[in-house]
Order: sequence, then C-alpha cells, then structure tokens
Amino acid sequence: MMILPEFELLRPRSVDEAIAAARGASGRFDYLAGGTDLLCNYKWGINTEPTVISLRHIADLRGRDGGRVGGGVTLGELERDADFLHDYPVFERTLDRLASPLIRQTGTVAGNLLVDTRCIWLNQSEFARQALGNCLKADGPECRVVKGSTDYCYANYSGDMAPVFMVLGATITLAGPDGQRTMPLREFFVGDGIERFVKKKEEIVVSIDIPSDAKTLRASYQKFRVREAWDFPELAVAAAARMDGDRIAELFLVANAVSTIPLWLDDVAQKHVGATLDDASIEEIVADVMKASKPVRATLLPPTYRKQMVGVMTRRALREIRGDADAGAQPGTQPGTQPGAAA
Amino acid sequence: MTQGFKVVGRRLPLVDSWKKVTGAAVYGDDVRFPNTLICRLLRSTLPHARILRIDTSAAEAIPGVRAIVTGADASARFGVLPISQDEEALAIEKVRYVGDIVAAVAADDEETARQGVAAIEVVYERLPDYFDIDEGLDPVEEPIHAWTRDGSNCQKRVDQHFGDVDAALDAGKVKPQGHFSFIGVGHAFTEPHSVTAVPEPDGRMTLYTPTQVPHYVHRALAKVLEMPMHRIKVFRTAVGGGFGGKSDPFPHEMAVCLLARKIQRPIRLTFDREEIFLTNRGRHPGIVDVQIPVSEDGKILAMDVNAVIDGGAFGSFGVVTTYYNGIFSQGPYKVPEFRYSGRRVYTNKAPCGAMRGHGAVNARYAIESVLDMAAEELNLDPIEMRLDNVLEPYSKTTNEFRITSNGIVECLERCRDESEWPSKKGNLPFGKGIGVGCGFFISGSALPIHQTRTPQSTVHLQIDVDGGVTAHSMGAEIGQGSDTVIAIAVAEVLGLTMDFIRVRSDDSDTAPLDLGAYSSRGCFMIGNAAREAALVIRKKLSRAAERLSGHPADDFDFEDAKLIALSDPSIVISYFEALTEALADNGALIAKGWYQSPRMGGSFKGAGAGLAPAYSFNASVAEVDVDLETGLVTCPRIWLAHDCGRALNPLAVEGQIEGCIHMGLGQALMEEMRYSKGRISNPHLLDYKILGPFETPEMHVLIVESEDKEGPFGAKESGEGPLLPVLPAIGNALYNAIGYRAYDLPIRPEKVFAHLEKMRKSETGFSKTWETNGR
Ligand SMILES: Cc1cc2nc3c(=O)[nH]c(=O)nc-3n(C[C@H](O)[C@H](O)[C@H](O)COP(=O)(O)OP(=O)(O)OC[C@H]3O[C@@H](n4cnc5c(N)ncnc54)[C@H](O)[C@@H]3O)c2cc1C
Ligand code: SF4
Repeated sequence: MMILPEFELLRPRSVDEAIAAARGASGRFDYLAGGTDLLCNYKWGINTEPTVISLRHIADLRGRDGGRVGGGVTLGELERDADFLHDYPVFERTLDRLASPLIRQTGTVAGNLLVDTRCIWLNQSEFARQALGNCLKADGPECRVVKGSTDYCYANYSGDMAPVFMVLGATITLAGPDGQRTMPLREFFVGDGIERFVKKKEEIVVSIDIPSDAKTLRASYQKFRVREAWDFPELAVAAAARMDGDRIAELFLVANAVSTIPLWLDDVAQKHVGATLDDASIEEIVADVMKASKPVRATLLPPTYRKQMVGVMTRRALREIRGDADAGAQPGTQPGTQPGAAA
Repeated sequence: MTQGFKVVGRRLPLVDSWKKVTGAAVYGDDVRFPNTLICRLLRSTLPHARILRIDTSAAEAIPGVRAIVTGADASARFGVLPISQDEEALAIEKVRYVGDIVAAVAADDEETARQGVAAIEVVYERLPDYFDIDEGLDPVEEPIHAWTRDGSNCQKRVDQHFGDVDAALDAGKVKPQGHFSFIGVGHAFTEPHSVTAVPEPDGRMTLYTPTQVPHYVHRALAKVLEMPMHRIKVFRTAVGGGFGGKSDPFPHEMAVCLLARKIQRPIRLTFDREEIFLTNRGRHPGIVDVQIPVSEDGKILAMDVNAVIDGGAFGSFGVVTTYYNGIFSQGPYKVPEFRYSGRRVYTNKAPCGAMRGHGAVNARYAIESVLDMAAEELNLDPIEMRLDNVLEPYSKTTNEFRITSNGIVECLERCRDESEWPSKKGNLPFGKGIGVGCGFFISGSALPIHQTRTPQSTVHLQIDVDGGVTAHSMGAEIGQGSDTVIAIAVAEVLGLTMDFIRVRSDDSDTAPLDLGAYSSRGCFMIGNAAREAALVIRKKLSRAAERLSGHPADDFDFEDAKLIALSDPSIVISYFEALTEALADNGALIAKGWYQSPRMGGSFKGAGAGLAPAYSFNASVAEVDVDLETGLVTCPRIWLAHDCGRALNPLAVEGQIEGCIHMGLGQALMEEMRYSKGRISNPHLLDYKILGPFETPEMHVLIVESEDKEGPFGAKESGEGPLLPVLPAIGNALYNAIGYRAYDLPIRPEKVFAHLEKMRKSETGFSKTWETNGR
C-alpha cells in the first residue's frame, strides 16, 4: 500500500501563527493546503519534510471579494462562484477542465499556483526512481531529461490557473516574517524546476488580485492533453487582448507547461499590438509563440509535437478572442459527447 | 420444462451487488485477523542479475521486524501451466526483471516492514539484459531461463500449416499484407492484489486472496509449501476486477504463506498500484504479420499469420498465448488454407500473461485491418465482403474447431443497419470515418490445463426445511456475474424467485472443484453444472408431488414456487408441500451437477489449443472523429453486436460488452506500458491512461441470441469476445477518416498529426482520395 511518511502536522489558526511555526521548523517544513499535489509527492517519497504546516484553518486565506481571491479558496468554490465567473468568464472553462471534480473540491488556488513542477522521471515511487535512476530534483546528481545537467532541472510547470491570472494582470500578495509584499504574478515565477519562484520558504500566499479593468479583456485558455479529465496539461496557451475596433490595443500571452515556469511572452505580445486579428496576423503570432516555446522531454508526448501543438493552441486562443463560434474543436467537447457537462 | 423462461432473460442486478454497493463486501484488504503482521516485499531494481549474497541481519535487528523469507526458504518452482513451471516464490539464484521478488518481510506495521525491506543487503552480479524480442530468437550469452532450447530466449515455437498457403497466395487476385506492432497493456483493475495468510492452529494454512483461479493457487501452494492439498484452504475474497490479471498463482501468494508458517502469525500484504504493474500478466507486446489472398469476388483464399510475442520474464499462460495469437485468426471466416508461425520470447521485463480476449486481440486487429485493405483493393464493401466469407453454424474450421451456434450474420447485419452504415460509408467528410471489425472467441477451453478426467465444473445444491437453496461452487465470482448465473439457473429450473438462492463460492473446503474464471468458461460450464444439479432436485420434488397427488412426476411444471400439473393445471402442489414431503424420512435434499466438455478436435500437434464447446461471435461498427489540427482521435459512437447464445441476464451481458468497448478503445487510443531500459516508466494511473468519462463514446449494445444447443439455456460467453472487434473497427474507421493506417497501437496523436501535415501540404490537400470505391 502507498502510505504517507511520518511527519508532524501543525494546524495554526492565523497567518502569523503559521509563519511563526514555519520559523520554528528551521526550513524543514512544507505548507499544506488541499494536499492534492503535496501529499501525492509525499507518498512517493519526493522531497518530504518532517513538519507539515496546514493552512486549512486560517480564515484570512478564504473568501473572495471582487477580483481578490484568497489563497485558500478551493477551486470548487471558485467554480461555483457565479459572480466571479461572470466577471472573468475565461475561468469557467479553465476550472471545468482542471484535474477532476473531486480534486477541485480540495485543491486550492494558492496550491495550484505553487503546484510542483512535474517530470516523467520524478513523479514516480521511490522504487521506480531507484530502478530508473534518481535525478537532480529529488535525490540524484544529474538531470535525466537533459543528460549532464547537474545544476538545472527542466521539470515542467503544470498548473492551470497561473497563466490565466497572468494574462489578466493579477498580482500576488505574500505574507512572511518581514511583513506583506505584493507583486505582479508575472514576476513571481523564476528559475529552474527546483527554484520555481521568488517566494521565500516561509512566505504564505495570501491572495491573488485581478484588477477590475481585466473585466473588459477578452481572454482564452487553451489546454492540450490526451484526456479531458485528470491529465495535467501537456502544454497550454493563455491569451488576453483588449481590442480597439478590429485592432489589438493590448495583448498578453503565456505559453504554459512548456518550461519550468509559465512563460510570460511580453516581447511577442508587444510586437503584435496594433495588428488586426485576421488569419494572417494570427499565424504570425502563432509562429512567434511557437518559436518562444522550447519544451523538453519531461512529459509523455514528444517535445517536437508539443511545440507544434503550442501553435495550434495559440491559434485557437486567438480565434476565440476574435469571437469565432468554433475556435477549434477540442475532443470531448463536441455536443453530445459530454457526459454530465458542467451543471 | 416449458419453453417460456421465468427468470432467464430478465434484467437482474447481480446477486452480490448488494454487498458491493453498500460497502459490505469483503475484498482482499478487508480481511482482518488478530495479531496480523504486515508484509512488504523487496523487489529487484535490476533486470537481470545473479544473486551472490543476501544479508538480512540488519533488517532482523530492527524492532518490530518479525520474520524474513528469501529464495532459500522455498525451492519448488510453480506456474499456472504444468508445462512452464518457471516461477519462484522468491528469486532463488537470479533476478529476471525489475520487480522480481527477492525477500519478504513481516513486521508489526507497514512502516516497519518498509524499513526492514530497506535494510536488507543484496549483492548482485549483473548479467546481460535482454529487452528485445528480435534478439531473443538467437542463442544468447546468458539465457533468462536455463531450459530454453538452443541457448536462445525463445520459450515456445508453434508452426502449423493446413493446405497449401503458397498456392493460394499465387491464386489470389489481391494479397494485401501488413506488419503490425503492439505495445503491452495492463488490466488496470480497481482492487490491488491483497492477500492474507493464516496459519491455522491445527497446522493447516489458509490463504485469503482475490483470485480468479483458486484451484490453481491451491495446487501451486501445495507444491511450494510442500504440503498436501487437503492441509491448505484457499478462500477467494470478493474480487475487485481481474480481467486475467488475477488468473495466475502468484509469487506473493506463496511468500505470505511462507512467512505465516515461519512466524505462526497471520500475514497481510496489499500491493500499491506500481506493484500491480510490476506483477503484470497483461497483454503481450509483439509483432504480427498477416497476409490474406482474396479472390476477385471477395472470397478469402488463405491466411498467413506470423507472430512473435514478448513474454517478459516468466511463462505464465504464455504457451497458450502463443497459440492464440494465430489459431483464432480463422473465425469467424471460412479460411480454406491456413498457416501460422508463432514465437514467444522471454525478456527481462514484467511477465505477460492472459488478458481479456487472451491472445486473440492483437492478431484480430491485424487480420481485420488486412481484410479491409482487400475490400478496398477489390472495390467491395467491407461488411458485405465479410458477410460473404463467414463460417456457417454447425460447421468446422480448417484447424478443426467445432463450430456450433453462430450468429455472425445477424451481428454484422444489425451493426450495419443500426449504424446506418450504407449512408455513412463513403459519405463522411474528411476527418470523420466509419469502420467495421469482427470477432470470435472461445466459450470456455474444452481441454483443461491439467489433463484429468475430473469435470471442469461441479455445483452442489442443498435444500433444507427453510426452503432456501444453497449452491456450492468454486466458480470464481470476479464481478462478471458467475454467482448470478448459478442463481438464475437454479431459480429457473425450480420455479423459484432469486431470493431463494444463496451461492457460496469462496471456500475450497466446502466448494466442489471449478477451474476458475478464465477463458470465458464460467457461464457455459458453471451454468450447465448448476442447471444439471437443479434438474436432480427438480426430479426429487416432482416425485414428492406425485406421492402427494397421485399425478405422474414427469408431468409437473415449476413456477412461482408451485408445482403445476401440465395436463391438468387444477392440480397444484406448493413448493413447500413438495419439499416437506421430500424431506420426510430423508433429510436435506442434496444434489450434484457437473460439466465436462465433449471430445472434439483434430489429431495434429497443438490441436487441443483453442478448442471450445462453443464460440461466441461478434461485430462492431465504430465512428471516429479526428481533430484535424491536433491529430487527436476520438470515438463518438460505437455499435457492438455480440452473439452470446442467450442472454441469461441482459443487464450483465450489456455490462460486459460496455466494459469490453471501454477496454478495447483504451488499447486502441491511449493505453501503453512504457519501458525505459526494461524498467516500466509509467506504473501509475496518471501516466498509464485508461479512457476517462469524456473519451467514452455513446455505446449501442446489440445482443444477438443464436441459442446454442449445448449452452445452459442456450447461453455462451460474453465477457471477453466483445473486445475483439473494437480495435479493428477503430483502426478501419481511422483509415476511412483520413487515409492513415495505424500499424502500431496505440494510435498516437503525433503520428496522426504528421500524416495530416503531409496531406495538408500535398496537392490534394484534405480530400478523401482513398476508398472512393467500396461505396
Ligand atoms: C490526478 C491529478 C490531476 C491533476 N490535474 C491537474 C490539472 O489538470 N491542472 C492543474 O493545475 N493541477 C492539477 N493537479 C494538481 C493539484 O491538484 C492542483 O493544482 C491543486 O489546485 C493543488 O492545490 P492544493 O491546495 O491541493 O495544493 P497542496 O498540495 O496543498 O499544495 C501545493 C503546494 O503549494 C504550497 N501551498 C499551498 N497553499 C499555499 C499557501 N497559501 N501559501 C504558500 N504555499 C502554499 C504547498 O506547500 C505545496 O508546495 C492534479 C492533481 C492530481 C492528483
Ligand atoms: S527535469 Fe531533470 S532534474 Fe528535473 S525532475 Fe526531470 S529528470 Fe529530474
């Protein structure tokens, strides 16, 4: 049977208590929210810690107010939040196809942003990692995906919410031993598959704030993988635009799940401001997004194919923004093939 | 008995479903005994290595570690087939794949058992690894098993030739061929293997195990423990799915009993998902080459089939699989000349074995694909061409399979009509396709694995004053509904409602022999045995009614718990009146029924393989949608018509067919056991992809009833056969949609995408330039 390793579980009631608990653990701890990511890795013996600090009982992390979403809000709560979906309709589809209904009942927004990077060599049991060969990110000397890499992990960022928040211009608020700080989410993610973001270990994600002008953006999130439920993205593209007549006034693009972090493609986006969204200019953007994406063999599908699919997903996102009724059929989304479609 | 059935043919919930849906069923891991120790296994992380030394001293010193066994504790080899007894409870001299069991540790709890496993030190000498089937046919430096001939890793060779295939190849107007390759797939059942061994105070040993084959486990335990069978009890717990993955006696079953005997305490072991993949016994990966010459008017002249299959490290059912990869190619068609060459090669990978549609699935995909090539070349409709070639009922195949009832024509016609094939085939836009496939499968293997004259199935019935009928059988209920078949047969014969019948099929001490749940034998064999037993009771009750009424015994019909005189319906004796009379001066009514297949088959080498008292037949028509931008293939709807002889319980038959569709689509579209240098690299259900709800199509299940003369109430199998036509229907539909023939499974989106890109850039672009004919 798969069992959890032993750890001490702390249940602070406030952000301050949690930070104090973290400082007491001298770096050897993990925060726990829904646990749908962390505990899977724990069961596999990946980078486990002796102390786990649960954030489930901290009221300040819950709740949504306008564009402010508490870090502890579950994906299920957000999915049922009609006002929120009305303001930011792009989340409807993003949430509906994220993990599975069951996981969304427990999984939280902060946990989703911080979901650990994934890799076919890493997300395995201890036995399998030993048989296949341990790697840099967990317990080995060298990367298996890019042979010879001893200081850079190429594991794939696989969260679905971050790219959407990013194109909507959201900020993230962190609380830590030195107080609170807020930064654009697009500056939050940095580094390789081990470093991942600028957050200090003790810092807690308090909230995500979407600016209210994002309500007038047209946004799309296009995710690609083999199965419509359960599967993490093999790659995805988030796009948002503000149109001025038939011209792009503002454009925001993220290529997701093709690198260690969601790729904020500012240069590509800026280059195409002022263009129209006709087929020809869409193809130019498609080519640029593809060029900027350099997937490696950390997931099941071959990298060259994933890169090609980045192009297809970009095209679909832009067509959806343009208002095409059929931006490109996703399997399983044709009418009549959706058992129990989102209620 | 009158013709109109009272219970047979009704849609009934399975008799064990109440327990399962309320959570009351006791599965492997629900078994609890006081003082139980928890077992964990040390498995090899090397594919092929000699064990030089095992040091368990550090593990034994851990507080809470109570006992450890290794290969030194059991020397006897075992295996499901008498001809390949090549498995060891714990590796003796060498390990043969990543996952091979080296030691078993019993401890106070799971965590301590894990620590014990980690503390065992094993010194290995690496041996050359063999992962590739091609190299397995030639002599190698260190054969995986010492007994393979000529120093190669080839375990089994089958060569059969009927008639003159070369002449037929010369004569054929068209002779399409294909080279197909298949990746291994696993059963992906829900319940992990979970066993408890209990040393009884009187020295006996009891093993609780969710097995499909209690009898073979019983035999293997006797051999490995070196104990007589009567000193061992096998108790089959509720089984959370098997599909062939629980139809071997397993090393871990041996290991927990060895531990229990050593420490004299109950031992429990529950696998995690990864260990299921390591234990495997899934469908063999392999290569199948097929060539089929066909005459101008669409008649199949011959089949030439060649298969090389990758057995993994042990024999399991593999010798049978080697036969099944070829010999089932013939049905449901008339194949005048036939040649088959099959090879099974040992490799240093997880052992393969029997899986739903055992041995027949991959070859069927190849055959049905090549048949479609012939239809295209000849400008014939694939369904009409198939209809022109089918075997007749009560006929014989070239390799002397005795064909009895056969509903293949109705299967094809209903699929054709219900799917509106004539209006779709040839008229669907680029990217949408429709395809057909057929299938043919045994309804129980006529020859038992151990060639004795003991019947293959026996059922005991017992009725006492309460009027309830207790049926005893060792038929393994694994969710497929064999307990329900027993209950239906008994209730039908005795004119009782289902609540009178209680089935006990779990305990080898009280149940009469049954060979288990494999080769789709349950319904046919256990059903017949139950029916026979019930007829004996019926006679006893009729005689009692005669004594009470003076009316002749053989003139009573049984209905609604009453015995009603056929010639004079005013004469009615209630079931309880008859029973009370029958019990008088006699005691409980006891009866026995058994089933044994009649003699059949040819006299050539290997003639026994594939013989069955009846065969099921089926056809499927599937539609596919190809996402032209991504290459992802989905199946929006599928029709599957299956001739099950008679549906004793249509609800159960539909469930089986739906399950087969789901599994077949999984193998066609996404399931694969990936290996990296002999190590399974996706041993969990996130990366080993079975179809999810969104990928599951609209299913149109069509039941065809050909009323088999020897089947119980006319019934045949429906648990495995329906899987066979699914894969080729998808492959053929994909070809119809975009002109891409998938020569390897699963169908990979990146390959479909590459094909589409090539077409997009070609002169004709996305237009259907193939299959313009054939309607
Ligand atoms: C089968 C399966 C499929 C999945 N599919 C998808 C998918 O398609 N898309 C997707 O995006 N995800 C997927 N997930 C991943 C995961 O379930 C979700 O991302 C989920 O939202 C994680 O949230 P959680 O609260 O459970 O995180 P946890 O597991 O509790 O935590 C994840 C990480 O975030 C940290 N953390 C959590 N909250 C805070 C906080 N407030 N402050 C600081 N650190 C914090 C934890 O320390 C941990 O490192 C899948 C998971 C499974 C098991
Ligand atoms: S990318 Fe390399 S280092 Fe990172 S998890 Fe995968 S194998 Fe390990």
